[in-house]
Amino acid sequence: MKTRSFVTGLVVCFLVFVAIGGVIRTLNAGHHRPEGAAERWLAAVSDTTRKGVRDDAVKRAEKIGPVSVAAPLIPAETHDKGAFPDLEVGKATVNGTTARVPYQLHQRDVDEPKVGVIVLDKAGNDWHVTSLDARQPAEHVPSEGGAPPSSAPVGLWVVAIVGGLLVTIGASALVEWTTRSARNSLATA
Amino acid sequence: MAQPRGNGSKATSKSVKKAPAKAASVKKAATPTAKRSATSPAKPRKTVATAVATGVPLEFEPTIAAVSEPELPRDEGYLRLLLLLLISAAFFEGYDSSILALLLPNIQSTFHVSEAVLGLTRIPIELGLFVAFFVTRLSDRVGRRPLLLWSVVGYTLFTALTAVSWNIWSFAFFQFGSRIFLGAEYAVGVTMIVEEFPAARRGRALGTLLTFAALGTIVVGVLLGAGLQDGPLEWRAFYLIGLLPLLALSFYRRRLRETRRFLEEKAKRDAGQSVEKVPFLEPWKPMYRRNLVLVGLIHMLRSIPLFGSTAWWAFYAERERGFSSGEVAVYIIAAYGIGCVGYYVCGRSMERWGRRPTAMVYFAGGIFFSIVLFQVSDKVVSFFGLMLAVFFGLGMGPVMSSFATELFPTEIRGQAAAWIRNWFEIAGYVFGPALVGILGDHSTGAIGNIGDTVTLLMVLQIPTLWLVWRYMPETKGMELEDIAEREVAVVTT
Repeated sequence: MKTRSFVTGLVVCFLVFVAIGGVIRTLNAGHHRPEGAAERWLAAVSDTTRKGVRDDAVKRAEKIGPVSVAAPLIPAETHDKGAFPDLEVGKATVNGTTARVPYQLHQRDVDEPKVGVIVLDKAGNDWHVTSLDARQPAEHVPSEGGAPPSSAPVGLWVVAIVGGLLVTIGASALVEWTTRSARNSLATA
Repeated sequence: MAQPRGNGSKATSKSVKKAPAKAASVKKAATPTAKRSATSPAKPRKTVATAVATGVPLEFEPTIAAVSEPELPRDEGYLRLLLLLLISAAFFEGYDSSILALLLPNIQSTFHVSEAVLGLTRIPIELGLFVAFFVTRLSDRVGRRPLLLWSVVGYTLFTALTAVSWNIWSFAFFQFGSRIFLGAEYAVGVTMIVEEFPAARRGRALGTLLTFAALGTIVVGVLLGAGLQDGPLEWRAFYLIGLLPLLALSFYRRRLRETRRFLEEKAKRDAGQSVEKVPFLEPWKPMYRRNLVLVGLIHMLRSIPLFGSTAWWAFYAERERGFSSGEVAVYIIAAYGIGCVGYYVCGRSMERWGRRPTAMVYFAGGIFFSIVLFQVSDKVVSFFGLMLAVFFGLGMGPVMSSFATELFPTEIRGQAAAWIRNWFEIAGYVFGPALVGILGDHSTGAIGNIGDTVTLLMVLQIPTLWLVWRYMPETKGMELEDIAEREVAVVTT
């Protein structure tokens, strides 16, 4: 293979990656899920008891919702570690500009999980935590059998299968082309 | 959860078996010159030195049959010491990669970043392995020993700096540096084994190295289960623990000697004898292009979902399935225990039933059980899903290594394997975790679900089944020379 052909190949690969990046950026645009905001808020609240990162954690949490709202969740003693060793959120129930996100978390050194609902309000594109609430019967996190916060729509699964077929066809074509081009090159050599 | 390098011992067993025959012919040769002409010419020998040094991992260890025995054998004690010292390279290759994968939620928490940013930082980090490809090539010029020692120093330095990272980008930069030196250390370690061990024992020595790469992952799981991440230094302690044995090894490695084959080559250079070197683009020549693209595509399509899934499983288990850190650790330890069996069974299957059927079964099993793993919520099913996903998904290393090596003639085998590894498969290291992080971001991702994103990416592996079935030649029971002749015939007729 000549260096020029190699460089051309590299440029084509680079352009393909740029195009894929552009598609992904377009697909990601406009998504602002209350579940993600609730999860980040809980993670930030958990960090407010960690040594060395407290101030920053408070800032992060306050951007999404008041830390004072989380007071019932924070255990009495955390030994300067995160307040919640693990946390999980479930699918939100959205009603107009209000969302209810079920959560389950373990407080530091407490065996029994803490469960409840985080209530968020939408302002512009962003969701903000306003209060905590008790769960209603249908509100569960995935590990309790509840729905995941988000999932791929059926259409996307179809697109993925079609995409897989296209990749198969493209890969086959590439292998066939390399075989032909090799034969041509050897024939003319 | 990092992927240990594939098992080269089975894939190269044929090469190992061939070596004594070559050694026998060497003994018949009266002089070193005659010996070379009777076994392998100067060009392939240089290729061996270059190829193995250019970042070819265990999975692609390519050139055992091509390396003829040097004049002075190493004593048993030195070989044992050499293996013991080089094991650290493989161990920390598994250990270091696993820290990043298994402690992702902790690292995310410390640096307060989204899943998308976490995914993006994996790009520069994993590109370190790509750079290692070029760094390792220096070992042909400066020698194996100095490059190995400097790579230990470099890896130690960047690992220490990783422990004191102040934000996600400093973390990414230090991990990038660490990957460069770790990749170089690993590749030079493999080179030294290949160049120093007698042919009949190289496969076993390399197999031992591979086992320790898996052990590195298991040790991270054990430390995770012991709660090291809950200590005052949190995840940073994992990097600092990695320093202690390395500092000791830096001292003991002074007992390492330069390999005899490198000294032989250096003497030839000093004497003004030209040593032919395989050009960088040699594997792209018409004769080999088809197989390079075919095997490269199979590696790339496998690696993107594979590394996306291994990098994010711990995060997925904790945040989307409600696993505790302790449960994740137990699952990892058990899964990697079974995963080692997957390597063994794969090696035996490809010898008994052939490369193609083994690859088909392993690809199908890997896809199926990965989808089960990332779709079910039941923890018992998840446990078996993880074990079998590792068994099939990672355990197919031997058959992948046979594809990457057996289809190419000896004089370009190493270069071809390096291309497949460092250009095609690296796409998986770089883009797999990034795609999952960006698309699966719980707040802004188009899919917003790590489990579904990984499952969708698994679709990419389905074309590999077709490519193997339609195009991949069977090489079971064939000598390497016969395979090379047949492959040339495929292209020319």
